Amino acid sequence: MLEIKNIHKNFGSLEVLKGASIRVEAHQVVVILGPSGSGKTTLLRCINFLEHADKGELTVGDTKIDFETVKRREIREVRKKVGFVFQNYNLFANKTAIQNVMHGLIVVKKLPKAEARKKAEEALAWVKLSDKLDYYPSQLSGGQQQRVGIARAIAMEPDIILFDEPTSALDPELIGETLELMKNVAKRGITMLVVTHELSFAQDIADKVIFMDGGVVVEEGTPDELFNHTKEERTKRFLARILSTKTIKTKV
Amino acid sequence: MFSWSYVIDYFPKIIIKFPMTLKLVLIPFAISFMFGFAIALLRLKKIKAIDWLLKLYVSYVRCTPVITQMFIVYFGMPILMQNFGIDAYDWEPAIFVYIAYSINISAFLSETIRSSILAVPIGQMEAGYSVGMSGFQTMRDIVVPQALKISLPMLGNMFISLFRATALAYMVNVIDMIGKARALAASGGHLLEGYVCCAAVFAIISLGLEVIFHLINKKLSFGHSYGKQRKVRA
Ligand SMILES: Nc1ncnc2c1ncn2[C@@H]1O[C@H](COP(=O)(O)OP(=O)(O)OP(=O)(O)O)[C@@H](O)[C@H]1O
Ligand SMILES: [Mg+2]
Repeated sequence: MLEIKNIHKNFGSLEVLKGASIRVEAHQVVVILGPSGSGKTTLLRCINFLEHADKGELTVGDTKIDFETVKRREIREVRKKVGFVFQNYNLFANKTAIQNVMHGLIVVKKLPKAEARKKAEEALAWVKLSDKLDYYPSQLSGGQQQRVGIARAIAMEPDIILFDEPTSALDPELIGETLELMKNVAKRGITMLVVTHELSFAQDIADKVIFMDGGVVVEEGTPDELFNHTKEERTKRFLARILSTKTIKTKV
Repeated sequence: MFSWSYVIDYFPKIIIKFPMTLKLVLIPFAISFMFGFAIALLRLKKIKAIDWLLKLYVSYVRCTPVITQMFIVYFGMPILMQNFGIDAYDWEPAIFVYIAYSINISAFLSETIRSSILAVPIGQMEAGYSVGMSGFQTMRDIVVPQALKISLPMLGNMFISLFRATALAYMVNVIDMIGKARALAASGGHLLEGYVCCAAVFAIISLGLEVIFHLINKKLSFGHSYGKQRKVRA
């Protein structure tokens, strides 16, 4: 379970998060939608302290934290419970695919090397990369890198995995397979908080969809509520815009 | 008159001093590597007063000739040490060269290492954090290896130029290969032959080092085919 209450974050004089609150139950998939610059990435980054929020409360499992008074030890604790899949993959460039997955298991989870290797092999087999174990990130395609990124996150067995537009840097033909993989992640019962512009993914998989704009949550509900019974004007406009660009894209 | 027989006669006598030359390179380089690293990390912490002092030190080293730095250490240090009740006048001259070169190389290495660490994308650090690694662990296992790889060509060049710079050590009475060549000339009158021997040794070793660094660089390629442009992804 993850809960954020009333989060605030400024970059200098720019107010990016203005009191958004979000709740993700265990085993749920929650999708965040929103226009560019609405603070989606910033929100995710605040959860595992890649950015430091100015105000608000964070609960991950049984760890409760006040952003204003957070301690180093608490940050480590949260990061161990939260996995992150990056838009640009961010695989360790000096490590092979299997080392990317193993490293956290050895250094953070303190597993013996053989056991870590076995787990990493399983995770990479699960993302269908058993034939690329010893490849460096630079030798993998974007889609393959992202699959390693997902395997790396899953292998750590976090309470929740955050995805920040995991498919937006991929070539169109690779988006489908990555979304398919994410659906399988969801089927494993892993709790997920996903920022994406892929409405079909939200429609098919999400338990809850959140629309963010201007640093606040404008509207939230089930996919059906949000897409078919939209309440807020801002949400409607956003959905209309994203649907029209989608159709243009597919026509081209 | 230049005479090959002197070259042949001098060569073994000069090459015996090669270990001294080697020590003049390896000792300062090893010391500088540690200090350069520490200075680089300290400067990345961006603590104003410390940063200012270190900047001053780096500028001093960059803006003054090595030879003056060496003389200042050679003549200045014994005076300084006297204040602490230490008699440095009897020290082996090589010690002053180790110190002077360490001061010099540390500064250059710290700049190289610092810029290499900054050249590693920030996402690497964030990826480490996101799997629960500490800042130290991520630096040690992820960022520093990549930074060393980036700095390796520069480190290699520095090592080779330090090797050549040892040729100045004779000026503070160190008997390395050059010192030996001069000593032989003082008794036999043939200076050029000795220098030819030294030049040959320096050339062969420099070339050898270049090959070695090239191989290390290749080995550390992390999957990038050597010489090919690195693919940049968004
Ligand atoms: N490190 C930073 N320093 C200053 N401003 C920042 C920083 N990171 C983000 N911002 C600003 O914060 C705002 C929100 O950015 P954020 O990346 O969270 O948006 P987003 O919703 O993820 O957008 P997108 O859909 O384009 O990814 C933007 O105006 C951005 O310019
Ligand atoms: Mg974003």
